Amino acid sequence: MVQPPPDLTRYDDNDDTDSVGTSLAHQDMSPPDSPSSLRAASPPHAPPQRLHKPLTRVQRERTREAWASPELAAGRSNNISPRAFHSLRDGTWLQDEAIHRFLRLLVARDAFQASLIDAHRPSFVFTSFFMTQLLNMGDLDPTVQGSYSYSNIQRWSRRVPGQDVFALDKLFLPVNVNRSHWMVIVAFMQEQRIQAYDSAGATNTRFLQATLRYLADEHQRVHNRALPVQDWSLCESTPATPTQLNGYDCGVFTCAFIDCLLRNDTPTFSQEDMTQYRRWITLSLLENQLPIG
Amino acid sequence: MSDEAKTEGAEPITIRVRDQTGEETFFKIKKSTKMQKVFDTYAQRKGVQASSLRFLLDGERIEPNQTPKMLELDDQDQIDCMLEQTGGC
Repeated sequence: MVQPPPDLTRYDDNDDTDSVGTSLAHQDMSPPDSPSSLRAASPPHAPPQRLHKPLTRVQRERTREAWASPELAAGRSNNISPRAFHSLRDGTWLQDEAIHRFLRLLVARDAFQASLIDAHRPSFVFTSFFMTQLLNMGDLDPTVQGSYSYSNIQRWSRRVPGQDVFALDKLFLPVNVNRSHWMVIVAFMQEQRIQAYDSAGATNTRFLQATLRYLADEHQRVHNRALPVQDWSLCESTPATPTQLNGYDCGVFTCAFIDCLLRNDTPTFSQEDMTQYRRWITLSLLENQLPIG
Repeated sequence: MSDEAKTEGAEPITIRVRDQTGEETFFKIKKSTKMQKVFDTYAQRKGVQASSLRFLLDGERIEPNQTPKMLELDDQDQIDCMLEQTGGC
């Protein structure tokens, strides 16, 4: 047995009442004067969204251990670094590895469903490095930084099912903005719509435009004809998009946006769901699969 | 024939590691060498921790225990090196 480190209690935040609180919250249809200011982003009469099954006591215990000892969690995981587990702790900025590994599991779930149901088109997620490369965001030269380079990511669609992004249902492009913020651009390929989901409600015009330009270049290369770009619409994050009420959860929101949209749900969750969702991500990475439910 | 195959496998290839600024670093390695060796050497040369770097092939992260042979890397193929990303606000 490993002795719990002394700071274990830091994460012992009313753990026993958590699942009760969550399940109550999920049935909560109370009028807008209660603590539901937190739910301001949800439609007023819709029932709150359930992102996942409430965690069992054993599952909560496992995530608490992982948060207390990221090194131990990493050692037991499938090649995931301690830094990734550390970043999943409540109040911490999420790191790319934690996000990408979790999103990979979500895509695997979607691919499995697509393999069972003929009408289900698969979706795909590029990592956040896609936009970093597409717009040379990591270049230190100010004349290059922000400039569009299709050639940087031209080969990436080889990883897409069928090697054709236009056959997908949705293409997700999580974006790391200025090394401090996470949001996601979603291309609804069959609806010909590109929409931003940003928990900070920021404007993301340059990412929307870059995505459309990428699709146009990709269409020309793969299908050898021009994309009818006039048929495509670009949408900023809408007021209905759930918003964060702190300075650290945008990565968690970004994962939850993608989770919902992959299930064809409209995201209506809220800030108060995010601590449990961090646990859900942690558990998924520990087990290298999405927990049942 | 098996002799030929052996020679082919043992012959080193040159791979290019391209960083976010477009700078390229060349490595001559055997197809059976674990990529970990490239990552560590690269990080050391750049004076950064290997854990803060992400090495990608066509957008997919390369695992340290993979080899050029497993990755089907050919001579002069390019690998992208990206910096760890984080965010919250």
